[in-house]
Amino acid sequence: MTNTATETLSVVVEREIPFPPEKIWPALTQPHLIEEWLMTNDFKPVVGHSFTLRADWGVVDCQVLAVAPNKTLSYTWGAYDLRSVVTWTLTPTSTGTHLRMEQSGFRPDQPQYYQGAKGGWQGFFAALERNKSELGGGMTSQSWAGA
Amino acid sequence: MRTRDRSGSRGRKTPWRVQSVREGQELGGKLLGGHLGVLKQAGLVRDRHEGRQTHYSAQLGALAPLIDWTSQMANFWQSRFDHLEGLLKRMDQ
Repeated sequence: MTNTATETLSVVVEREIPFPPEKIWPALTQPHLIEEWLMTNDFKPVVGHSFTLRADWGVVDCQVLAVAPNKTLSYTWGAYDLRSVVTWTLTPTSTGTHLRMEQSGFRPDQPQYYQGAKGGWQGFFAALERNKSELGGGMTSQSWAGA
Repeated sequence: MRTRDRSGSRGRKTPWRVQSVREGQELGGKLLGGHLGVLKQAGLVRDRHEGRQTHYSAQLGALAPLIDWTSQMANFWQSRFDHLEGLLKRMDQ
């Protein structure tokens, strides 16, 4: 029986951005710009550099893993008991850049084993719920008719 | 309401209207209505009556442990991408 408790899950978000990689890279790597779209941080584009991302709903502990200017950037992303890696990939296109973000990781007690809300995740989701407007309606209840 | 349509496929292709649950119940057997009632008691869904229709919505807070972290983070990152694009446009002016 494979131990799915530590099976890695991942989320990928990709988007065509109408700006060249050279214009996007600063927004991914300069602290005052990162703060504009992501969170308050003390990021440095230096491999091994540890930094935090801070929001009112919580703090994320990170460490830079790889830096290839205008190409790739990856750093660990530890929030509550999630251990994950966020990897940005910038691919130039005729109209700008194909920007790809992949976050892959696992939680020791993957939620598919329903053991009720554990630890901070419930707080994390509740905070997200409270901040729906700030996060652009990130956490909306999906309604459906019938199961 | 089709838990099993004539072709025998149990797959859910289109969202079902719950008002047809009553037909399900008239057909007898513990069909959709029962399950939703259980979910409602468990606080996992909330119902809203609209004329003859009942709409159920997932209570994400309660369902959170059932949803793995990736669905929460997908929402989070989509919104970050929106903010990033906004910043890039402002920087470009």
